[in-house]
Amino acid sequence: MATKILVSLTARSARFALFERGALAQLAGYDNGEAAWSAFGALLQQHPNTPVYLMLDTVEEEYRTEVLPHVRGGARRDMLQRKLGQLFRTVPYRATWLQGREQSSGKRRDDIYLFLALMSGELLRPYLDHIQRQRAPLAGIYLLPQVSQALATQLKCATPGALLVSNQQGGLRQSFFLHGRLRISRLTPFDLQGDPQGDRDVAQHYAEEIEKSRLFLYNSRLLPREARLTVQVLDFDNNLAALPAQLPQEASLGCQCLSFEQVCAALGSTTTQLPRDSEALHLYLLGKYPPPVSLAAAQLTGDFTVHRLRLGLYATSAALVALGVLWSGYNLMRGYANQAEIKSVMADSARYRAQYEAAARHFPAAPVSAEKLRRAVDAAGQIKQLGRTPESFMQTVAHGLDAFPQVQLNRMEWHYGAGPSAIGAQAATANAPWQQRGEIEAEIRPFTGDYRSALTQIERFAAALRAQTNVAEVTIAKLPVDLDPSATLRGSTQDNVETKPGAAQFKLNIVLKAES
Amino acid sequence: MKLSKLPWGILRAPLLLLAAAAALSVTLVYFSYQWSAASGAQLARERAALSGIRQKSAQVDQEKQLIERYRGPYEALQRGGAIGAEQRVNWLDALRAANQAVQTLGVDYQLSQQAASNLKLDTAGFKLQQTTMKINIKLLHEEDLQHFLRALDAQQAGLYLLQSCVLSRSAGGAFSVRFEPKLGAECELAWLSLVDAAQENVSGQ
Repeated sequence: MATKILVSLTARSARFALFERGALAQLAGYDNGEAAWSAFGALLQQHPNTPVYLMLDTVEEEYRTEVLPHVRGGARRDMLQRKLGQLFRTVPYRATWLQGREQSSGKRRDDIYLFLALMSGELLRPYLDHIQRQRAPLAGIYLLPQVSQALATQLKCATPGALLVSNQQGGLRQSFFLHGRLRISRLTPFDLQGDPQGDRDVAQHYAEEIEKSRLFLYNSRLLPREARLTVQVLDFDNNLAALPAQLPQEASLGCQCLSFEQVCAALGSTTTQLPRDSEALHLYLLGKYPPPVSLAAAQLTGDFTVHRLRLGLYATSAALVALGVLWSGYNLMRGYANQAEIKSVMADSARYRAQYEAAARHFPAAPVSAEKLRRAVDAAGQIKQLGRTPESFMQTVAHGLDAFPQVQLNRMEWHYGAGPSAIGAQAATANAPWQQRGEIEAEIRPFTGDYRSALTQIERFAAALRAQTNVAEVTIAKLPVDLDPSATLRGSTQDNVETKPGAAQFKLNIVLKAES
Repeated sequence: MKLSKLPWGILRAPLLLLAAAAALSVTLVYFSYQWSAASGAQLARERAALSGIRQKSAQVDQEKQLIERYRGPYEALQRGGAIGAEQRVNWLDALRAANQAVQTLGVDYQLSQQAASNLKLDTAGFKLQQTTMKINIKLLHEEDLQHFLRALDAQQAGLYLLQSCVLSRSAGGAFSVRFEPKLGAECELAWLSLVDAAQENVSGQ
């Protein structure tokens, strides 16, 4: 745990301590004067860059509890600043402490704020001078009752109201907590030596001061008269056993005198960890449970902000390195596990390979692997199976010609491949069916010039071809006469067509069905 | 506290440390990850190899049967020139033999350069190469084309696919009893060769 410098100041005394590993160290006390200031300066020099926590126990304090609407963000900030300005306009050390929300059902559940202020900074000035001179990070300035709230919380009072009473260097401190939250505190001088009635009973003096406080709580309506109040007195010297009997014997008032051992038990500490005086106990509480709200203005705690930023940067650096080491460690672990498994797998592979090679020695000699043999032979078989000649196409055409002796074949074109054209022209796919297709060029002979008759014969010839079972499609590509309305047609009825061979030429495209 | 008011001189050392820590972490993680990933990839390869050899070992009897069954046909294809480098001489011999068998009036031929075939067949481990041959045959009768193609097939000179044939009548004229071609056939066929891809790669290097 980081070291802290803890300072407790009263009008008459100053106590300094270090907070290391959850305990106080180097606890020292001085009269509040030159000697204390010098000692504080020396302490700061011995422990540079150590956060300083200042706690004051003084009568120059002010507490105001206000119930304000529950708002958030900038609105809350503005509202609290406004309220602080109203309550403590010229006070340099002031703070706002949210102390919960109203519990009553049916209400708006407004926020309860405690406004605190240190009315004079004279007590602090020499110490702040040292802090600013040495640029020590000031963590905060706190009032002792703020620190007491941690103790009140740990003591877990059974009643809503608790009045914590302790004898401090500054006097008799009485702090009132409602539901464990500080509402008001009061410091009264308690110096029996200097008192003309010095021999007066200590318990009686406590009882008188407690009764005054109780009446103030009732009168100021901080505590309803019917509400139960527990007075918790720190009795480390075990000399207040008579106090409960001297308090008014009312049902709404209870009293607990807490021994040092009881306080240690409440704080979960051993008696050796805690100092046996209430002043030092509050220093310990300041180190362990620093209050969330400080009276110091932002410009005073600027160095502490930088200090925390530095610590944050160092912590982030450490976290980054730790993360990097852990992550890379995980990677290395995986890598080594992989390497180990690779060795194992390679050993298995070698064993299987040896087994295979031993068996393969008895194989018949082969030019390539068995799989390649099979693939090559299968591929050759497929190619042979695909092979076709124009024979079936020619037979189809020949069957058509048998019934049409006047059709004379001049030219025949045959193609075979997958898809619409030959394999050389287009990529053949394994799925596209291989088909035979072709074109025939023929003419009607003899041709007398009777185009109507010729066209009829060509149509019938195409139909005869189409009727054959192995024919998928027959289309007429060209007729002897162009019947297209958009084409120009020229000729003479006097022409001797017998002397013009080819006058009745035509073309047919034929596609045969794919063979399965 | 505003950024401009921060004492950067005081924060320089922790910021430099942070940068160094970030660089160190990134470096450590990067290189360890690379190494781990590389070993993971190697492990995957070794596992695949193990799986392959294990499967091969388990199928050793089946492999033996495959060799016994396919070795003969394979070697026959090799002898016929269907597997390995193309055998142009075989093809020309087959053309000549078919021509003699059918007694055509002459065959002209033209061979193109060998190129990868676009025929899609499952020939893993082999590349299918194709050489296109154009032949012009002078025929007395159209049936002579059938006879010629059958005779060419009977030569078993290799694997081929007939792609196209164009039969056309020769230019007419006065009746003649001379022994002259009445038809012309122009055919295109693709000679196909299976080339062992592994051997081709080795020879190519």
